[in-house]
Amino acid sequence: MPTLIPTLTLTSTDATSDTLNFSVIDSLTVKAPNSNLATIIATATGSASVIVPASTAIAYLYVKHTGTTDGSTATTRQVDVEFTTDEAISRLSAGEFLFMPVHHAEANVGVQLHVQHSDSADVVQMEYAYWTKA
Amino acid sequence: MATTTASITLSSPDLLSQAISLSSSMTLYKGDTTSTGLEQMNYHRAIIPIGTNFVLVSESDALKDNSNYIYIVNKNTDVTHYVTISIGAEVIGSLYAGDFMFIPWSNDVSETTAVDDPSGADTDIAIQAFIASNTIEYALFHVGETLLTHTAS
Repeated sequence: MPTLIPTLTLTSTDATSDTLNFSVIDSLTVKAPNSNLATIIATATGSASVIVPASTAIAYLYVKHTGTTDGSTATTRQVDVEFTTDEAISRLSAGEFLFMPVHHAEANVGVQLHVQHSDSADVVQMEYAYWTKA
Repeated sequence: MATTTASITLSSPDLLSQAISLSSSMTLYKGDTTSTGLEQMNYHRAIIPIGTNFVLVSESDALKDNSNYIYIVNKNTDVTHYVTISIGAEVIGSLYAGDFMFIPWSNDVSETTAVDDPSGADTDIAIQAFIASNTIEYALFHVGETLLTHTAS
């Protein structure tokens, strides 16, 4: 089965008196279904932006807020990453990303994106990828 | 103000017929700003025994309505060992040995206040170990914490 290798690095020269610099790397065996990288226009209707289909499996999930509505027009609207049962996992501001093995207590649910604004004109272009744990 | 950067690379030699790699980086800013970096962090290493869902990070007024960032890694090596991570009453993920997560975390994901939920979000981050004790490390980059006044006993 294929392998996904995620590497996270956190660095700062001034958050602490000594330089902060650490990395963590993992080797994950994954299987279908997956989505290697895609974009989606998230709206205020979460169910319109399902990025991980309902499953009881663990999905390694990457989501990034592009800070734009369409790839070029800037927006600062925040976007909730939430289960399809509406419980929030995280809230992304412009430019932020998350990576995590998402798993809703073995419930058969998916993951969706939900723009934090009621105006249907407020949309955010998001990038995402997911891989199912083998 | 401090500037802390998170970078991630996701690569694979065999997911597709050709190797793939994507990278992204972000600066950890205070909520609703794009210029003021977070200057406080906590770093912990803990052994989580099985049988109880423990509070890993308590919500507080100091963390309310702002961006905070949580990084958690499971340092066990037996691939059957894992922990679940919850926010409030919801399990959001499972970290098996060696796995990690990094997410922005806000106390502002719901609005129902209560005496035991001053932020109105009920967003303690909790952790429960399965199969065996799990050693975890976590870092919280945050805007501040509620410091308690010492009372001599």
